[in-house]
Amino acid sequence: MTGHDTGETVVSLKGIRKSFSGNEILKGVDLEVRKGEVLSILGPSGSGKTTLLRCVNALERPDAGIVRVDGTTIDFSGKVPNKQILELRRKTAMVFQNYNLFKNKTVLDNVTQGLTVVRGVAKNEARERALKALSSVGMDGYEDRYPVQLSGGQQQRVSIARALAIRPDVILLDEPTSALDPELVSDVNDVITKVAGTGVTMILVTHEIRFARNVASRVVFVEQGNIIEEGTPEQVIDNPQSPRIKEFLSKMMAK
Amino acid sequence: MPSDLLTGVLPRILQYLPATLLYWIVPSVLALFLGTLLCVVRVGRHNILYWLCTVFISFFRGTPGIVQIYLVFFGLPKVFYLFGLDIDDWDPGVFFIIATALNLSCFICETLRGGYLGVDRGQIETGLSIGYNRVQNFIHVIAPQTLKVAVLNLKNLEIDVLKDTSVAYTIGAVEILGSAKAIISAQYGTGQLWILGLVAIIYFVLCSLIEVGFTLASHRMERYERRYA
Repeated sequence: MTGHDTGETVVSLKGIRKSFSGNEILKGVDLEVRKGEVLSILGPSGSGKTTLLRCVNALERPDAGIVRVDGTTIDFSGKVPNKQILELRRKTAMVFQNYNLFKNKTVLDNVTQGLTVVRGVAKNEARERALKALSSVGMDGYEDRYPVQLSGGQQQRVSIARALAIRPDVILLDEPTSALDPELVSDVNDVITKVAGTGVTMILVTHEIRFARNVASRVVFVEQGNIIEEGTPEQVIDNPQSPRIKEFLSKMMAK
Repeated sequence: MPSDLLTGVLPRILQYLPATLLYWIVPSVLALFLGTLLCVVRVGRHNILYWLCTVFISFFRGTPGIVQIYLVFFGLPKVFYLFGLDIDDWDPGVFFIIATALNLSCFICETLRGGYLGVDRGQIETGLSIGYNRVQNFIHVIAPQTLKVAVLNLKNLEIDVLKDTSVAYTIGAVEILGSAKAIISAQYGTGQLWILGLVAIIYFVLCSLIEVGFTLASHRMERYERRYA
């Protein structure tokens, strides 16, 4: 277990509801994440875990519920001004399943964009911060490459650097290794573990139970739009109470 | 070959090269602007504006360009007259430019829309996730990637527009072909084929230049797709 739990709440979700064409994916989810914590969201496909993660930075706008990140609170039951959404997104960073580096920008530009364009950081300082972030994920020397010239694992490491460089309040990781070749998975997992060790708050959606077991300080299990169990990895993964989780875990661990 | 083809006829025709270029470039610029606006509406929510643009586009796509030029040339002064404005003495070229810009903007809109729909949604979401506002996301992610997908079709459109400037003379806006026709009729048709052949060569050279320009531009846009730099 890693993470530096300080007790201060950074992310708080209250009563999050979300439907897609009449199909309720999230049924009033409450969740709190404390500073320095690595929270892992587990659950079967279609359970709503990715949707839940995407509600934190409003890539999916909840139909109802309150999202708070640091000092920004948005109540999605009413009309939400774009300005607040921007503020929320600027406090978070996301690592996507498909890396999603900007195809038309170099590695360095990918990492500096969030600093120069969004946060008005001076070019030189942005470059320095970007190089430092790239070096921390083992991607020194790749600054001038384009994403297409990198392997999936390298692209994902750059995308983690992009998230780190902006020093967000929380990094949201959406199945960061699901699209990778099996041999590249451990590279990326190692980087995530290393980042977790530096006290960065993270929410990690993953199918990799063993990795979640190692890196997470807390685990929630989502099923059919609700959190059905929550606790330390020891509690939820080693000794789950719900038979549904036991069944799920035994299938996943058998792979 | 008429003895003065290159010394007499060619310079006289080339005097109208600026007119041809004007009838090409002004509608292109206007249409790029208007077409982008139309495109923004067409990829957005299906509100009243969306349907207005859709009708506008299907009209201009579904009627011959020459008919549109006549409609604008004869119709626009009547519309202005209703508001007490007399534009009968406007240069015919202005009507040609208006009609072409309207027509072209519809095709540019649809070309850009195709390009936009071809952009990976993940790229757009990533822009939002790092905190770009809509304009920033448009400038840094959507526009460059849309253009890259759309550039081949834009090239075809621009070549068509250049060639279609040759119908401007039908409403009295004189350009290359118009001046050639005038020379031909002044000579009672002598050397007609030579002169028309010369005009064809001029158009061909211009289109080749556009072709080269667009090819260079698209190579530049695709540089990030080359696996080994």
